Amino acid sequence: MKFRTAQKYALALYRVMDEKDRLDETREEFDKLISFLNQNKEIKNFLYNYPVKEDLKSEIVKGLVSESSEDFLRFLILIVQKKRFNLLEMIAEEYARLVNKVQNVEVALVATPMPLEEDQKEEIAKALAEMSGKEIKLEEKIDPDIKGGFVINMGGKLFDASLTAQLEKMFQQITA
Amino acid sequence: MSVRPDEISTLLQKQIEGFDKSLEMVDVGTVIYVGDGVSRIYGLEKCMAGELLEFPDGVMGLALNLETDNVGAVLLGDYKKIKEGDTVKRTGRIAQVPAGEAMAGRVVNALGQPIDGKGPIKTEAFRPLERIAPGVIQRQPVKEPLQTGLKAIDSMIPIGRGQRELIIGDRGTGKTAIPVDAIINQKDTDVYCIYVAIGQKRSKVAAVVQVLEEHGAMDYTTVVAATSSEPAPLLYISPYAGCAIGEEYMDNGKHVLVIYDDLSKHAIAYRELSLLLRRPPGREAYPGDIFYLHSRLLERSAKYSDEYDGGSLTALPIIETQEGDVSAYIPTNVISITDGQIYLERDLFFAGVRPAVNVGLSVSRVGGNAQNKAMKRVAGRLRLDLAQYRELEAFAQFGTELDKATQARLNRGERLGEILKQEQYSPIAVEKQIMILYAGTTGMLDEIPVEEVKRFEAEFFRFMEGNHPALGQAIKETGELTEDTEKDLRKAIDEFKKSFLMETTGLETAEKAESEEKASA
Repeated sequence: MKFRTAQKYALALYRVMDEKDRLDETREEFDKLISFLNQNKEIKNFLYNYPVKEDLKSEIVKGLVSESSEDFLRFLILIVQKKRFNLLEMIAEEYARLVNKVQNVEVALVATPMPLEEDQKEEIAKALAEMSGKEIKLEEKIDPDIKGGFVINMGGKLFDASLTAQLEKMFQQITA
Repeated sequence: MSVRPDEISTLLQKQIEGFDKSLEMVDVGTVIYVGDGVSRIYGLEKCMAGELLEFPDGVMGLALNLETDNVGAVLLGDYKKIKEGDTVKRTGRIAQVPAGEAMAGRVVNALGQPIDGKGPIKTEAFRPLERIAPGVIQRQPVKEPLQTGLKAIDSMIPIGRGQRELIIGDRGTGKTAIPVDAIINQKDTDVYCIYVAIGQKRSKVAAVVQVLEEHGAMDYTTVVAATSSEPAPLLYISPYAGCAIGEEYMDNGKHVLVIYDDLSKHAIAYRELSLLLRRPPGREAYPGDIFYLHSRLLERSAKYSDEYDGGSLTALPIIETQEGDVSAYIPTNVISITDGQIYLERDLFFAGVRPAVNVGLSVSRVGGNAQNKAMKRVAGRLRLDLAQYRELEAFAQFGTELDKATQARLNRGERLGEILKQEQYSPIAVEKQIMILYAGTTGMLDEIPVEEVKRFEAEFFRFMEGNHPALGQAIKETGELTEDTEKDLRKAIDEFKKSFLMETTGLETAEKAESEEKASA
C-alpha cells in the first residue's frame, strides 16, 4: 500500500520536473536531503513523527533545504501537509527509477571483496552496457563474504561470478 | 581391501576438472515478507504465473500472485530458514512431477519425490502439474465399464472408464473403503491406479499402503501422499500431481483410476493459502476461484477417442460432509462437477449395511452406457424391487397383518439388501455378481431365511466354480444372458438351493418347497 502511494507521488514529481527540465538536479537534492537526515537522526525522527504538527514540520523543512529549488521545496511541504513525509525515501527511490528508465540508464550494483580499480570498473561498465544496451551507472559494495570474483545485480538480473557461488556449485555437483 | 589414496585423488581431480563453471544470468528478487508458508518477493518482474522459484537452502516456491510491485508465492517446504532480504531465483520452469511406468508401486509426496525408502525414481518423463483438460475432439463418450467389485455399485451406480464419480458421506462411513476395494479389484486388468491422500493422517496412509501391498495391488498403484503434517501448499498441489502422473498413462493409451481422498481438505488447504495471500474471501471464507480449483482438476478425467489411442482417466473424488449436509458449499460444487455421486449414510452404516450406500440418493449419470447387457438386465429389476421395498419398509413392523403381495415385496427387499452387503477387501467378479443378483431379483432366494443369505451366497459361488465353471465364463465373455445360459443358470441355482435348504432346514422344508414350486408351475 505504502509503495503504491510512494509511486504516485514520485510520478507526479517526475512530471513536474520533466516539464521544467530539472530531473537530475532534483535527484541530487533528494540525495543530499536523505544523506543529511541519515546523519542527523534526531531531525529525521522528528520529521517522521506522526503527532508533530504539520506547520512546525514545514518550518523545519524550509530551513533544511533553503538553497533548494522552489519546486522541490513545494513538493516537500506538500508531503508534510499530507502526512506522508515518512515515505520520503521510498519516493526518492521510485523517482530515481523513473528517471533512469527515461534516460535509458541502468544501475548495476557490483559487490566485490575488495575495492575495484578504475580500469576494472570501466571494463565492467562497458561489458554490461553492451549486454543491456543501456548506459550503466555502477554502484560499488564491498562484501568480504564473496571471497573472490564479483556479483553484479543489475535491475533484478543476477550475474554471480563469485568464488563462494562456484564453490557451492562444485559442492553440490560432487555430493549429488 | 586397502584404500589407495592416489585413486581417490584422481577421482576427485576428474570431478573437479569436469566441473561446469559456466555462468549464467538469473532473474532474482528479494524476499520482503515471509510467514505461514507464503512469501512476498520484490523484483522478479518477468516471473510467470505458476512458475517454480528457488529460495535459499533449496526450498522451492510456487508463484501464485503477480502484482505490480511484488510476487506472492507459496513455499513448498520448510519456510523457517527463509529471512527477509533473501535472494529468490527464477527457474523458468513450471512445477512438474515425474511420471511413467516407474511410478507404479511407489509412494511419493506432492512433488513426486519418493517417500517409501525404495530409492530414487528412474524415469525420463516429467509432467507439468497443471494442464488444460483434453478438448472436445479428443474425447468420446464413456463406454467401457470400470468394475469396482462391489455389488451395490457395479449393479446400480455403475462407473465407466473416464467418468468422474463422487463419493460423499460423513466421517467414518467407509468412504475410503470403496476406492480401496476398487483398486484391489483392478488386479489382472490393465488399469493403473493412483491414490492421492490429501490432508490424511500418516497412519491412515500407511494402513492403505499396507492393505494394497497385502492384496498385491501396489504393483500397479502409485500413492501420492500429502499428509496433514505437511504445509498447505503441498496439499494444494497434490491432486494435480496425482492427475499429472495419471495423464502420462492416459496419453499412452492406458487406463487409469485416480482417487482424490479427499477434496474437502484440499479446499480447506486452498482457502488457507488464499487468505494468507490476501485474496478476498467469499462464501464460507473460500476464495472466488474455489469452483475452478475443482472443476479444472476433474475436467482432466477423460475417455480419449480411438484416434487418440483410447486411453482413459477415471476420477473418484471423495468429499466429507458434516452431519450429512450435502448442501454446504464444497459438496454442492463438486456434486455439480461430477457425473454422479455415491452417497454414504451413517445410519445405514450402523445398521450393518456395508458398504453404506444409499441407493436412492446415489446416481451415476453416464456409467449406465458402460454396463454390460446381463448386468443391465438384473440391475433394472433390482432397482425397482429396492424402490418398492423402501416405500413399504415403514410397514414392516405390522408383520403378518399385511396382505400377501406386500409381504412378498418386503421379503424380496430384505434379501436383496442382504445380497448387497459385502465384506471389505473382497471384491467380486462381475459374472458372479450377475449370478447372485439374478437369483435375488428372480425371487429364487425368497425361501432362504434372511440370516442365511450371506452363507448361501458364499457357498453358491463355490458351488458354481466347482460344478458349473462354464456358465460364469460364458457370462463373462459374452456379457449377456442368452436364453440358454439363463436356463442353465436357473437350473444350477435350483440344484444348489435344494441341497442348501436340505442341509439347513431339513428334508421336510426342502420337499415342501419343491411341491409348492410344482404347484405354481
